[in-house]
Amino acid sequence: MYLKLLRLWEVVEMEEKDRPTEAALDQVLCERHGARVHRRLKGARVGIAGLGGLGSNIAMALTRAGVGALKLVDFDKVELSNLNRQHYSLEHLGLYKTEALGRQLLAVNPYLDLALAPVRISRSNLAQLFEGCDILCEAFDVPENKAMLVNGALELLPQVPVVAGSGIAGYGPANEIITRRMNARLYICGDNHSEIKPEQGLMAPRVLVCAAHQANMIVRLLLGENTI
Amino acid sequence: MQVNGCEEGVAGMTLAAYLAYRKYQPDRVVVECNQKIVARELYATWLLKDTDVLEIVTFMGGG
Repeated sequence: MYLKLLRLWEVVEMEEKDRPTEAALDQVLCERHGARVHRRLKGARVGIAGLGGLGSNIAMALTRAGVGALKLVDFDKVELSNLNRQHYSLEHLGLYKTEALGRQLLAVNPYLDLALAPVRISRSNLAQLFEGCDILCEAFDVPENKAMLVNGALELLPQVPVVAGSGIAGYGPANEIITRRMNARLYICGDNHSEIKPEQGLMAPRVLVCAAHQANMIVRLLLGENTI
Repeated sequence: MQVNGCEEGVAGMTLAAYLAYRKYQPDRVVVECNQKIVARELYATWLLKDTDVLEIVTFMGGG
């Protein structure tokens, strides 16, 4: 199943006369960021694999920053246990995460070019799913899936930088979460050691620190900065 | 040879044997040898050399 949502004004219940135009949104972002930065971010397409605590918050940060196009991929639906850290609320329970998140992103920027794929990512479909993306963001939960995606992307998507997350569980110091550059194409954010265990579950503050690291590295790469 | 910045005297081992020796879980890692990613299907036949510089990333759960 492949679904594309385009600028759905029914997502945002607003009188036509009250709706901001695309030019008005461009103008406020240009005033904040400068025309060069805004043009580059708006012209970019970022692929996000996994829409849990990392992916949903990264997508929201990139949308607010003015990234013009996102490809969101996750087969899962929103559950009650997600609400402790993921960018969803009670009204989204039972919806595909792609749709629940897509609606929220369009409510921030209705002109976002959004492609949604509620499918399971494997080595055999990842090249097709993320074709045309300038950057791939790894935001899975399960370590084997993280390794599969990063290995697959580095082999099958030449030229595309990958920004991944690893080591976010618990409530250890936020300052342990850093961005590392493994090679010219692979960046890994996280503390590199925290595993999920009793009393060290996933909690919003640390997950959001890592999500912000990933989103910031993506913005840096889009703007031509490849150092950490 | 160097692995994650530390000296290791394991030249002649295959990458798969080294990962088992150091108790890595091969399905949770990304391995870079001399700044190139090693494809998973090559681990079993990839011979480590004295001059190799290896980086091994193990992914932690949570997202």
